Amino acid sequence: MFSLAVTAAVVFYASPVLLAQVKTGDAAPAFSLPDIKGGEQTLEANKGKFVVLEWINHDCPFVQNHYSSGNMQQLQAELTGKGAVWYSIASSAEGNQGHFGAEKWNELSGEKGSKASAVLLDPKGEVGKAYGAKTTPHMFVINPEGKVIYQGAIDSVPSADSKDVSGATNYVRQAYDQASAGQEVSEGSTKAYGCSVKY
Amino acid sequence: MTEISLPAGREKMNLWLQPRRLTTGMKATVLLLFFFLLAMPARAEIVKSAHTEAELVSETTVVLPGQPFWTALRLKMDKHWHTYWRNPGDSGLETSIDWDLPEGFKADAIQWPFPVRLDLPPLAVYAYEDEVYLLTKITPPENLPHAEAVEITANARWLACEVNCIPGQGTFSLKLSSGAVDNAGTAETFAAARARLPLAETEWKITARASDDFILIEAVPPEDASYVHSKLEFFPFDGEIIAHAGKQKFSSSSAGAKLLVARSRLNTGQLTLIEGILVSKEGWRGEGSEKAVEIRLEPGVLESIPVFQDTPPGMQQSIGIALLFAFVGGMILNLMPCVFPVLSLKILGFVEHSRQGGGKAWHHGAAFAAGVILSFWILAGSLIFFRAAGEAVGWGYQLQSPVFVAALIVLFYLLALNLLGIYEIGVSLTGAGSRAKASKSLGGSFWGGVLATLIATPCTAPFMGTALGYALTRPPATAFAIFTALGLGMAFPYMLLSLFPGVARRLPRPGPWMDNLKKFLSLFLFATVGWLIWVFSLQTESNALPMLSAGLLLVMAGARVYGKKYQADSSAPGSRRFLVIAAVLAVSGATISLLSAALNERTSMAVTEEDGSGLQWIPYSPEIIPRLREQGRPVFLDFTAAWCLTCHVNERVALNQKEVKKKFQEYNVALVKADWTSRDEAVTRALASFGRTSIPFYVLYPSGKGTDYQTLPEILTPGIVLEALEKIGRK
Repeated sequence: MFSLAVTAAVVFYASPVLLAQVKTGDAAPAFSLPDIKGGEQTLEANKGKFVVLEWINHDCPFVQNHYSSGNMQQLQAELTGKGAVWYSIASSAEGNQGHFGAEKWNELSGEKGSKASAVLLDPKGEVGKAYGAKTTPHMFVINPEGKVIYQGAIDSVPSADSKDVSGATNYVRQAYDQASAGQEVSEGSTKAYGCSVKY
Repeated sequence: MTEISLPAGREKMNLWLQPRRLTTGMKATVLLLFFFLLAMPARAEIVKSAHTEAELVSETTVVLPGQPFWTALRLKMDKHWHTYWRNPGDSGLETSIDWDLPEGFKADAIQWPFPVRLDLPPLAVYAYEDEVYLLTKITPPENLPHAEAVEITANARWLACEVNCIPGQGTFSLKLSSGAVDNAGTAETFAAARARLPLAETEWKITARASDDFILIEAVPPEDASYVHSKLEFFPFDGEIIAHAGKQKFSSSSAGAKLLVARSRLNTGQLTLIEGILVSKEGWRGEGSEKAVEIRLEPGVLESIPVFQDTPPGMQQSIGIALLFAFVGGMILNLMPCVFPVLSLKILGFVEHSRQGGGKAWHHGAAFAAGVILSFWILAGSLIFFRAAGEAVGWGYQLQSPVFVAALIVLFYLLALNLLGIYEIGVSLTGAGSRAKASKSLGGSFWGGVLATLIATPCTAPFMGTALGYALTRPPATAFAIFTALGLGMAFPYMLLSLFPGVARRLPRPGPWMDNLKKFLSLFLFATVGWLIWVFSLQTESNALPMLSAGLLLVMAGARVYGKKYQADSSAPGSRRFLVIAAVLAVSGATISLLSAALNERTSMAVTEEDGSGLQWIPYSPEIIPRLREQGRPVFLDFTAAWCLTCHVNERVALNQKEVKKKFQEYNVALVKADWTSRDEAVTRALASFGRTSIPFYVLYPSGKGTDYQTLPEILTPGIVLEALEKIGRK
């Protein structure tokens, strides 16, 4: 009876699982993830270049909105054309919405006309959690020194409506333009909007 | 909030409906038909999108110049689907309404009912499930042309999510008439919707403090508040000030409620404004009242983070579990070192009762239970009274008074002398008196119950701490219920025994062995007296002890005279003289004992840093714990008192064991002792911050700044302590 009582009376405190969060200005967490072409991509290998990270889930209406309007692909083409590296990262866990194998991903990326440098698979969510990615889309811009210079929403109008895309300020483009021109990034952190990342 | 006044419309209605004034029945019919048509648009067409049904509802069909009226966007979600609050949290999107209004009309922002937090680890969102009414106030212009129908249009957009998200939108038009009768019939709907809106203010005094990592919100009740919050949740308006998925730590007592919220790590600068709503499980004006209040606070500086007790699952809501804990705790209390000697005496008593025939035994069981329960009530009553008067008291508080301890010493001393056979008691205190007359006395059983409770107070049994902590932060009626459960639990084994006297009859027949056993048990009572004298010596100045000894000597002399001279031959002439002498001796002895305490009460406790066990104890102060932890040391906090027997047993069998001491050293654990032997405001407050009012109680903190800690049970074993240390060590 005693041991039962004792066991029942022990109340241990369990700390909750929290997302890590990277502050704008801090070093971007290193990562190494498989891409959908069978290669391996690391942040380390891109030192000296701007790197854009885009959290992606093609079943999310917010992501769909930016792809069906062509907004995302256009930005991908524009920035990679200027020498930046663009990684679309899928952190959906196996069995959750937005999780696909490499083959399906290649099909999807082709269909959508993705212009990303690579699509990376993070089904364990480790990289997503290390960056504190909460939504799809959730955007990060890393400068050539490896520091985070922007994180947050893709643009200034939280909406899944295609009519809103054109009128919005694209924060990623703004951050890239300002930083590459040697200026201070005027909005380094905004509140990301969209579907939750399906960890 | 509704400012629609209807007299104008009503007058007209009356005119039309008064048969005398009606020129033709036709006219009335047409007019009624007209109103009927006007009334229909009080609800716009329902828009169905995947998993959500939406419509726009007006509180009135009547629009009067300059008189604001209310509309509601009703969203009905499928099961498991939700739409979002004004701050959606980590993901999602708030619902929005764009108004298309006639010229001069003005629409305010949406009035948001309080949301629920939905956890999707590691994320959390603030959302509405099932159904929600989003209220908007619309103000017509002053110069609204009379008798003209107006049309208001809302373009609403929302995001409904389960795991998948589906955006929804709808355009809703309402046709309203100006200056006619209101027959919207939506008053109840709006009243229900308003009940969920946050209050603009509360009588509770709410303040906030912030550090780089945390926001601490404190709510102090108004003076006449007779309720506490069992749970508070903070929902910020700004999406970026807190970590939405972070655990909001809550603690509550009659002195107020505290809520600790982790800040967002993206936003670590100085916080100048904290805006949002605070949602109480009970309501801000007592149970069942408005649950949310809007807060807008300029935070002060948070220097140290208070500790929070994690309420065991179920304790927060359920009085049932608290009652069960109290009952079980009461039963286990019988096995604690302070009660055990009395338990054995009591069982002897039952042996005798059972010989007198089973019919009466249960009477004794009931009388004993009554004694126990009544004592618990008195204890509860005085605890509640003193706490209400602002005194820092808790379980066993009476032992913090040396006068009370002196009284207990005299009582136990007399009992021990009785067991030794120095004298007999007319009404047997223990129910174990050898005279048939005494053992028959129900009063004896009753007082036995009182005595058992009295001496049980230095002990806490497992489960009891939680139940007591719960009891003393609730309204008096709840507290009494829990104390009753404790008493019932404690008396339960005796009642059971008395109901089945056959069990007791299996014990050997009463005989000389019982006298011997009583003499043997008197040793336990003398040991108890010795222990109480030690407690007494810690609570008083040094000249109290000789005085107490003198007092006890007189008591003993009185007992001796009573037993040998009066009781031995009470019918002899002049024996009354001895009775008087005995009484004078005993009463003066008892008085001196009590005076010795009252005159020499020590005001401050000297804490011994070295207690002979080889462990270095640091005396508790509120600042010491964060300081030691910041030095990189884990901290073991021991709430103890000289009068707490369970505490001493724990110290001996667990804390002072070789392997435990070794681990303490290995992890460089700082040992802090919070001594409650005498009354100590700081210790009481520290206990209260864990929701406790009783000891023993143990807390183990890891080193560093975090808010993590773990509590250990009331009964320690080396294994429990080692396991807990291992967890800290691994961090």
